[in-house]
Amino acid sequence: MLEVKGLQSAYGDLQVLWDVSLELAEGEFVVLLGPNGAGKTTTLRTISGVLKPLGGEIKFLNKSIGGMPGHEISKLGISFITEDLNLYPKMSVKDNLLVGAYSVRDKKQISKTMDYVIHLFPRLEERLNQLAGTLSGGERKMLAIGRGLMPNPRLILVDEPSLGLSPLMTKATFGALEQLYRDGTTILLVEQHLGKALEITNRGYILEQGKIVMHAPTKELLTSDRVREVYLGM
Amino acid sequence: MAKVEEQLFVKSKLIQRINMVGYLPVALFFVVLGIAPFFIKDEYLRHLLVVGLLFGAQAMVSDFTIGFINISNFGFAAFFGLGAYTTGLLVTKLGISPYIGMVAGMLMSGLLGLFTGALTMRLRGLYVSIMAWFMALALQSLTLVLVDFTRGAWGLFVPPIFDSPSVLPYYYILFLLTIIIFISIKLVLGSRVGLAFRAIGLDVDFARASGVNPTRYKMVAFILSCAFAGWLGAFYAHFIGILTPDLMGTQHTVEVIALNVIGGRGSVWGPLLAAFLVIPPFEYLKSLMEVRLIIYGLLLVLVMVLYPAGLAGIIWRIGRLLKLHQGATVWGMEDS
Amino acid sequence: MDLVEIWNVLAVGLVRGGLYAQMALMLALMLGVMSIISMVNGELYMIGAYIAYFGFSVFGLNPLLAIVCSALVTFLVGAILERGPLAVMRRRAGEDWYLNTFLLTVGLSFFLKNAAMLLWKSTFRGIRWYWEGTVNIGSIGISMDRLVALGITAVTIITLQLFLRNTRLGRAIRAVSQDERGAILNGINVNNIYTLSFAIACMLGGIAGGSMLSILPASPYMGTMPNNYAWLVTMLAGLGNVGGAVVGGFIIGIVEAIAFQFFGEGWPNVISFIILIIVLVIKPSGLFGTSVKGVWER
Repeated sequence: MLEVKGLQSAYGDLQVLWDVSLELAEGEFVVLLGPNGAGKTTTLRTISGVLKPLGGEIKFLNKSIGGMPGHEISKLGISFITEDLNLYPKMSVKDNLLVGAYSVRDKKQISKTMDYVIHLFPRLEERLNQLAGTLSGGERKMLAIGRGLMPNPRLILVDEPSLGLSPLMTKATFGALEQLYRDGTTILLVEQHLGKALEITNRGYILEQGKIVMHAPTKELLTSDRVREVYLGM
Repeated sequence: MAKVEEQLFVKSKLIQRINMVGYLPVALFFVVLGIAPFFIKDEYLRHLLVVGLLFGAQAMVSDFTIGFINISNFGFAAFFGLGAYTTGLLVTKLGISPYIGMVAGMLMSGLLGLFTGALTMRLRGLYVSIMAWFMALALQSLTLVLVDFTRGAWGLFVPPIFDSPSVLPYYYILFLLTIIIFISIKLVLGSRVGLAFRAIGLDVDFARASGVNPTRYKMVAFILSCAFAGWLGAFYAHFIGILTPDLMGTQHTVEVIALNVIGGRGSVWGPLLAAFLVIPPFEYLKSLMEVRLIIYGLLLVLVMVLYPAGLAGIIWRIGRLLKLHQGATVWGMEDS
Repeated sequence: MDLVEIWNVLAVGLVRGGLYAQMALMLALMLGVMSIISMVNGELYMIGAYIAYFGFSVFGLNPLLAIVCSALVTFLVGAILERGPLAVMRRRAGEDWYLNTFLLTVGLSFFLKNAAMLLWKSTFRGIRWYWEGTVNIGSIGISMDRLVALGITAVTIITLQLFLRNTRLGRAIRAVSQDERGAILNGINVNNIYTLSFAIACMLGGIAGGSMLSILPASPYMGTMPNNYAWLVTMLAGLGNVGGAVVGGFIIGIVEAIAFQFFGEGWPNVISFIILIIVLVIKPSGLFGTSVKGVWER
């Protein structure tokens, strides 16, 4: 579904990605690991169109999307749930969700999806009319994910969902992601919180200094000495 | 301060704003201005020279804040007008000498600048601009309404400095004023204070992190520019002989800002040159008078959109093409 | 002062206030969505007034139709300005964005008002009335024109609110003003939204100009006053507080009407400006001030 080959990306004069190649098939749940500053967020940003690639290729559903404007990539079916969440603080939970569904014209579809999202995150239902800026950290994450789901995306990119969350909330968030996976959604997850990430995903890539250095099914990653040493501190 | 200096030069792009074309051409320009009246004997044309110089000087003073600390004094005309009315009222009501009146005008405007600045300088430049604008509107409407004091729209008559029928002495007084202002600006900009200005203009947070207190320096620049505006205004009062409240109006400010931008923000001499290229020709060709303001607006828009470096930028480019100098990057243009 | 006089002052004040409120809304939209500190607001008002004048007086259109023409033309002008000069400025975005767009709008304003002067000279183009007559309730009355002007203002403001709150595009506009990246990620074409927002904002000015034609005749420099007041009301209420600005507009309108009644010509101006300066000295962020996306704060 998603093919990235030799991706290069930069912020102005600062090149961050030098050679990133990865692949996702439909229905997979893949994790992108790596130390701080490796370029994980940059990779997601480039795929989603927020950042324009310097070189390399990105193909989604066999269509080349490298360099396409972000809003068009979103309409093609990729939802990017950022680390900052990028919620609309002065709009209600409901309005946030509705804007998430901006590119969906069928009102019935929007309604159906909203029901699904509320079912996934019951906490949001109670707060439908509350302003997004007044929600707690965990609720905001939920809203961000929920909003990202509103256009019924084919692929979801999630950037460090557990960051800043209590263990309870982290569990809930990952639980939701797992549910999505089971419902057939394709997910590319960026995480530093390895324990949980490696439990629920199929495969993993390791990104270091802008290059993919390792790629294996998560079972193998869990047993790899390198991963255990560097990332799990064992 | 040395660290700021180093880092300023490392942080490319906006460096040589002042001496972009070197000292010589600018000095030559002033020499030409200085001897011009000897070649132009016609009194009407000389009058045009004074008007051109006056607007040029104002535009130069405006550049001191726009070009360096990114504050566009949108109430500029009021500081000019305050200086004018101060000397006008002092001289007509108290009979003091015009020269003292001019100093008083400068001080009054400086004070108003201090007041305005003290209220607003901690906030972003645009806030200062808008506040200055409202100060101007308040002052203008106050002047209009206090007819018994200022004669409002009827006009305040101000005695001239000289009894001479010729415009010549006025030209040279103004010329002297302009040179003093120009040199003062350059001295300030070349000093440590100036370095701070440029740092602030480049990147305020960076400047603050380097130990430069932006507010204090912005205040100095702002107050000085208001004082200079007042000084020029006071001169104007004794030159033109009659003052009305629309002197302080926004239109006057926009004309000054337009000349500033068209001439090239941050160059100091650019606006002065622009004034001479625009005003005398337009005033001379009476038929073009109406069009003059439209051209200001149009040029202002065109410069902002297409060529932010303005006239100074064009001249700089030409100089580089003709290999007359090795100037560094010009503000608003990428080095090519 | 008897009831009739009080009512007359109130009526005049409300209508003026409605004008101020609508202009303040225009400013708020440009500032909030596009981060533009605009000085060209008055000229959109002016264009609206001239269009309505020509439509009504010269082409004999029905008044409402004339005002609709004002709305459409100013909408178009706004769209052209946004797609043209403003888009170029946006591509060059940087630290100096606020100052540069400010100067650009100053230039546009200067150009438009003097172009109007060249085209139509300084003669005032006014009309006696759109709709003749007065509406009376008991012993007090209000001229039909004033009533309709007030009505149009109210309808415009309310419609705008409803649009922003309840429609897909309205939500998109709010989204872009609150988090641009989020909007992009939600599939919103931000550039199109900018154009739409700016055009709508300009249209607000045009409607005001057109509907107030019988009260304020068209002239090239007429935009100065609406612009001054748009800013006065906005600064008084505090940048970012749109509701406050709208309410403030009405209040200032009434205060000025009272001032005119007691002090005569020229004083309402002075009083308003001095009130503003005093308020800002005490509270720089305005009466209800909140900071707007760091526009004022460093």
